[in-house]
Amino acid sequence: MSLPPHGNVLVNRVLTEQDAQRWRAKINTLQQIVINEELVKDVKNIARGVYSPLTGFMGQADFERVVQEMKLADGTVWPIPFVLDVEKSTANNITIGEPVALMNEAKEPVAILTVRDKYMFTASTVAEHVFATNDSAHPGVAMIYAMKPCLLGGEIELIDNTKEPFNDMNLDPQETRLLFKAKGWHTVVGFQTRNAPHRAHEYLQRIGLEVTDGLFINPVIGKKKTGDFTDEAILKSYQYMVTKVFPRNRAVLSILPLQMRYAGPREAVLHAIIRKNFGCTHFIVGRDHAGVGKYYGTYAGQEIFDTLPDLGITILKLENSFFCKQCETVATAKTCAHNDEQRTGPSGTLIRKMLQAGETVPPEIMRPEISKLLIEHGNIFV
Amino acid sequence: MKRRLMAQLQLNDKLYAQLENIVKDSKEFNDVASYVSYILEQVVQKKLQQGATTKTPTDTTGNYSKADEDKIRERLKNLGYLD
Repeated sequence: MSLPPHGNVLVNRVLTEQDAQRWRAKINTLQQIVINEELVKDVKNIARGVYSPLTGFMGQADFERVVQEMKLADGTVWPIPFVLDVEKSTANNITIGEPVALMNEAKEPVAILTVRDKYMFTASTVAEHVFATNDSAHPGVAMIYAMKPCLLGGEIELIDNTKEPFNDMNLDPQETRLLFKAKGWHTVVGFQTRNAPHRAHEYLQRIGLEVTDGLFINPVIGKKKTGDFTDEAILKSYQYMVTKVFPRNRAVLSILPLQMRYAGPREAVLHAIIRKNFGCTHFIVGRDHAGVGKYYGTYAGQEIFDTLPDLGITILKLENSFFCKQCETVATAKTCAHNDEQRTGPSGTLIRKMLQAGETVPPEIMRPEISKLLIEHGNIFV
Repeated sequence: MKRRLMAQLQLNDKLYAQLENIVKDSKEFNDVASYVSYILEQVVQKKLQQGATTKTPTDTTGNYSKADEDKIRERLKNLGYLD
């Protein structure tokens, strides 16, 4: 059984090539707004149905209810505002109902936005509700404070449906839904990652695969922090997992171009909704999902689902996993009675340090073949 | 797109004048007829989408046609996702 998409509509705002060409021909007659690479990702995700039921940037009614109540104006659960911020002078020059060209930083047309709403917002209110903090040291809060003062809402129509980089690993929800069906998967577990695979993550994936027909590995691709694995390193190592470790036809790898907001629990909800749209019936939420620093509780990303109505996707709330020397296997506090001295966690610092030095990470933390593959690949950190 | 005259649509003067004003300010539409046609297309498309998702919520391809589905299958095969 494949789940209905969120809001029961799988959005498709991708123009046919003929319609896209029609807009390209008249692009210079339209007002143009240049959007950065991260907003281009949002525009494409909206158009391709990744953010269903959103059909464009939020108007004021949706925006305010999302910020305050985690719901769209019609009551559908939605945790994070998706908005287009512009200078006041730009907003003043646009009339409601006007089609505006959204251009990328190379000044090429990306999409048409039909403006339905123009409004102002209070950054501190958004920060307090969405990020549960006003601290501008939080990267998501910093993004909110850096926004321009006016917001434009309205539906978008995608002109540029290119998928570079990683075109060959970038599937839309309609593609994954058909793929899962073709593979005969009735249940699919989604796994979100921003790292090369280590044993602890593999353990979570195996748990997911034990209770479902298929595993959908869906790494977030895009802007990184210094010290993060590069997109290439993540994909190369997961290609190995999909082709050499998991049984044939039980795992699929496809990327998710998405800007991380680090909104912790709210972002965990967004990630679950996105995977629901891809056709997943289950989604793994581990410790500190989409968190940063010490802003959120270790399991806040799991607990938030208890406060929401049924989202229509089963959340697998899994504990922090580690290698236990006594058990001689990966386990969690739920399945292992031994103390911390017996346990080796997947320390990101240790993994990074060893790989940078060209050393194989201990096999209880990372598969030796993954270590080898990453060392040979070189330049694996941002 | 090929257009066919099926019936004349009668609009009251006030509505027609409002539509004319919108079209006058529009960069996308040349006349009221093309604007009304666009609106009707949108309404019909929305209805079809709603119908597809509410009647067959487990449909795997949402509101996509058989031709689109074939295209998707072809892409999945070319990328090695399907045999």
